[in-house]
Amino acid sequence: MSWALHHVARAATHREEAPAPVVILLHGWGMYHGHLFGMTQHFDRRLDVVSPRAPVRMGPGAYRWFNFVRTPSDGPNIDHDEEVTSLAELIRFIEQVIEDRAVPGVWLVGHSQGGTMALSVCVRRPDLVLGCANVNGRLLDKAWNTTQGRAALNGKPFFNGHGLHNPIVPLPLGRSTCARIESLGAWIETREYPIGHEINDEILVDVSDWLSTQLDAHPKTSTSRLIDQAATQG
Amino acid sequence: MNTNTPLRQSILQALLADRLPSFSSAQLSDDRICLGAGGLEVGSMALLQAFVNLETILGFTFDDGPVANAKLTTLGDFIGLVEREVAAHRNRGPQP
Repeated sequence: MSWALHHVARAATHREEAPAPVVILLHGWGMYHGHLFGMTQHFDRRLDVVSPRAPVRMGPGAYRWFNFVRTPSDGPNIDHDEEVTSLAELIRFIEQVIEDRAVPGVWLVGHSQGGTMALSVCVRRPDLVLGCANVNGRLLDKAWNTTQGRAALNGKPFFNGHGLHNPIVPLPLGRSTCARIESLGAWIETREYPIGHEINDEILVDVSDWLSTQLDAHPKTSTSRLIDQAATQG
Repeated sequence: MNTNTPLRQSILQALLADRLPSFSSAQLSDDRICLGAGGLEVGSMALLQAFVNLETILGFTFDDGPVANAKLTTLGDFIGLVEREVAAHRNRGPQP
């Protein structure tokens, strides 16, 4: 298969079901696919972990989903053409993962711009997503405007972690993101940390615990559709 | 140590570009000088641009991992990383 995005992957080592649920890690601006991948060695062993690389190369070890210019009050002003192209490639990649792993959807974990991309996928293609953890990202206005009034995320679990002193995506944008996601019907858990824009081990432990809780609560989520299909065909 | 090799000159050119003449030869031959504040005043974006400049000069692309995971504090750190990556590239031979 020709994958839409370059990536690295780590297979589940503790299988309770086949196929294993899949979590996709989305790195931030100026990082690369090894960043979150290297920080998530402690994630639940029931998970297949897949970490794609953003498509726009800035230099070695530095990639982005889209360019942006910082503004003092309104948050980042983004390059919409790059965002549209990258979102299409990311959605294609997720579709490929779902087809390849034979799962009905994936869990998304994104930091910063990766969190923003994860949220865009959630509101554009909620059918691809089982749940999402966003750390220091935000829901773009354009993504929100296309989904306003539609309960696209009914019952899907979300985790939102945000830095109290975030200079890149200010806290009000993080809080409004939570309100918007919740208004779309998501079941959201929010945490605010005494940090800036970074992601750290404390947050990733919280994300890991949240993921494990979701897997415990919905142990058959990743195979239920397959079982249903088998029953129908049988 | 030979501090005036062609590779070192290329690295310094890629790193400092138009600002190269503003530094003394003593500064540029001191591997202990800081890349950032109080030294060569090269910020993170300028450092990334230096890698991109070097890719053009050297004719290959750096791997992501070694660059992303490197702790680059001094000029010597930067030069050492580039030298290691050049050697690794040579050992791999021509790429398809």
